Amino acid sequence: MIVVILRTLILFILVVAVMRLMGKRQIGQLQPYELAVLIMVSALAAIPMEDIGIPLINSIIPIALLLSFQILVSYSAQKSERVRAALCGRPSVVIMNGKIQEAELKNLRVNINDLLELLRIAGYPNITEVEFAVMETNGELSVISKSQHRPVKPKDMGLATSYEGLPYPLVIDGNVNYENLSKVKLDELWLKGELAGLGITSFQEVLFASLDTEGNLYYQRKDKFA
Amino acid sequence: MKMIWVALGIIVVISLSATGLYIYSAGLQRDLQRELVELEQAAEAENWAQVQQASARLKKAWKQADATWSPVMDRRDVDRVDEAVARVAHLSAHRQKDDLLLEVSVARRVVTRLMQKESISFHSLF
Repeated sequence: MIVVILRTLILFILVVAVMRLMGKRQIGQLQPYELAVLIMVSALAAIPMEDIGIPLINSIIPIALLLSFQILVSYSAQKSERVRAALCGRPSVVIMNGKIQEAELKNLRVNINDLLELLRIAGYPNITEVEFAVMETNGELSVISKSQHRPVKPKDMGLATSYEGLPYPLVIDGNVNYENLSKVKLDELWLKGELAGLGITSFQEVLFASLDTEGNLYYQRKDKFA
Repeated sequence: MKMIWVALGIIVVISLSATGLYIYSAGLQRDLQRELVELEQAAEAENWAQVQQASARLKKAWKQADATWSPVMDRRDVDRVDEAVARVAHLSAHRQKDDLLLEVSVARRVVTRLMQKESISFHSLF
């Protein structure tokens, strides 16, 4: 059993180290150590599934340990800048003041085509519109456009706006969301009455209905009742 | 912060349980080895009454070890010990000295190897 614990610890450190060395291009959404946990946990869970000769406890214990390590590592990363930098890496500025940082791209092993692709995905087909681009630790690209290419906001125009809030879904696929109804201080009777006024006799006829903060009821019938 | 203590608690509990289990398993292994050695010595002296007694004690020791080892160790290794003990018991009952001595040495080796896999060493870790 002690061997299992030590092997788990060794493999955990090894996989985190390998993921860090692999660089940001392969990582995607997760932080490196999170991906390591994910890979190891799935492998630990899959192997004993096909090999009943391996006691299940030999998988449960490493998974519990990985979970514990992950919590401790996340906590350490949260508390210490150095730990965070070692485990997650640092954000890399790939475009600074509109200029591509060639050395940084080389470090990240990202080529120009990859950068242009990431910029297009971020909504910037023209690199001249970009002031800063930062490759985040999870491999995503954050783009800050040049001020003259930013969309105009009501504030820029000096326009006053009112609070919008979030619309509350009240009926989803024929099922009434009573929690949301109580949040907006309304009840089923009110909803029934409103829908009856629109020619709907049963909630089952409704595919989706929501209420916005201005009191407007949006609804859509199911195809078979339309 | 609560989660940190839970995580640390899990690590401590698992580590202590594993250490305790290892110490207990080492004791079980010693019991098995002792019974096998006694059986071997009795067989060499062709003292079959003593062989029968040692065989019964071996089966009892193995029953206890099997109950502990099966849920936590590789079942193929545990099965190997089980087969070796069964062969030793059978040959003891039939008073086949040469085959019995061979099987006892095999059983001793299998039990030793099983615990070697659980001990902390370069060999077992890698």
